[in-house]
Amino acid sequence: MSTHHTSLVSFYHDGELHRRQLHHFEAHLAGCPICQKELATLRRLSHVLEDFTIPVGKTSPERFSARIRARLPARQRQSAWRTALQGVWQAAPALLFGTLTFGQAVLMLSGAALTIAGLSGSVPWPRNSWLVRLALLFGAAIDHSTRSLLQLLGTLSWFTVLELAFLGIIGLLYWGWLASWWAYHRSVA
Amino acid sequence: MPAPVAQDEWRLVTQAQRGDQEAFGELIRRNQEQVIGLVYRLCGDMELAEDAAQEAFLRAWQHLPSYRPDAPFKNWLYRIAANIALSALRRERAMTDIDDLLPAASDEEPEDETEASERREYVRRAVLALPAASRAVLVLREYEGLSYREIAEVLNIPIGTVMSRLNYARSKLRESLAPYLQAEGE
Ligand SMILES: [Zn+2]
Repeated sequence: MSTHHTSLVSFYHDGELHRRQLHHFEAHLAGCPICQKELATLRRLSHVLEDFTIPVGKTSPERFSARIRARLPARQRQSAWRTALQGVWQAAPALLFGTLTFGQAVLMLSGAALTIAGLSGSVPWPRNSWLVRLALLFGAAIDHSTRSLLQLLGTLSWFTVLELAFLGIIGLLYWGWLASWWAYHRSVA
Repeated sequence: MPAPVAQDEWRLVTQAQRGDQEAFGELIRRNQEQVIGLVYRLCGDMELAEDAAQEAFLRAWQHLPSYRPDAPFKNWLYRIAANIALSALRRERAMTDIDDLLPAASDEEPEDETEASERREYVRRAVLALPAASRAVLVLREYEGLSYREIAEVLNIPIGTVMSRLNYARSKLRESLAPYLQAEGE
């Protein structure tokens, strides 16, 4: 550090420098009369500011709290379901993440299972996939292996749609939660 | 890192959250002095400060169920109190002449016996002459000892704004309090 950074002096004075920054600055400070002078001024200013004292209040501390207590509206004890609902709301991000992980795992496993089953031909497809139907519609002559492949592609793409929809819903729920969290915290103060 | 909320305070908060007014009374007693002090330094008027602090505690009671222990309870109270004080100041400003609060321009040197009280008044006026937004940052830093991050949370402003307002406040005070700063030095 070869230049003087008055902001660093403020950070130092305010206890905002940590570890390496702090050591660096202290090393610089030891040999820098300009920063030393700046620091001395800040310290003097803080000292002078102590003269802005707080006068004795008109209300004694006991009366002050008693007066507030007297004005406190009784708050309904939270009902059990409200507490539960609040708990769910607070745990929503974790729940959503859990659902996401679980859903992804299910989709992945079932996708893999279908692929294997479809390729080996051991499981007959319940119905022709939309790709096969499309091919048949155009009168294409399809043999067994082409048909399997088309079936597979058809299922896979439906899987992709399913997966995207799933992701979309989770994403929407999460953003909704974030929005409500934000609104809630803004309403507090 | 220490927990932001001490255990016994957290116990009082949870009791108060469930509607225990006795517990909340204890929370008031523990924090009233600092909350009143903060508001007083924001508005410079003790009567106004007591009213605003009272209002802050009432509002805190209403919003208590939403308090989360991710920051000290005191900081949460500060947030509410600062909001009330600053909006009261905005209303006030529309009505009264802000020049009333400015330090009287005088080049007299403070005299010996009355020096202390004169100086107190001078410092008070100098702080109150700052724009409210900068004053709030300065007060939270210099008198309440909050970190930049905590100030940012209490005032709901970015941390960069905390730094620039603090800088501004200090540079203004270095001008207005110059006689005292020089007299003290060396
Ligand atoms: Zn330097």
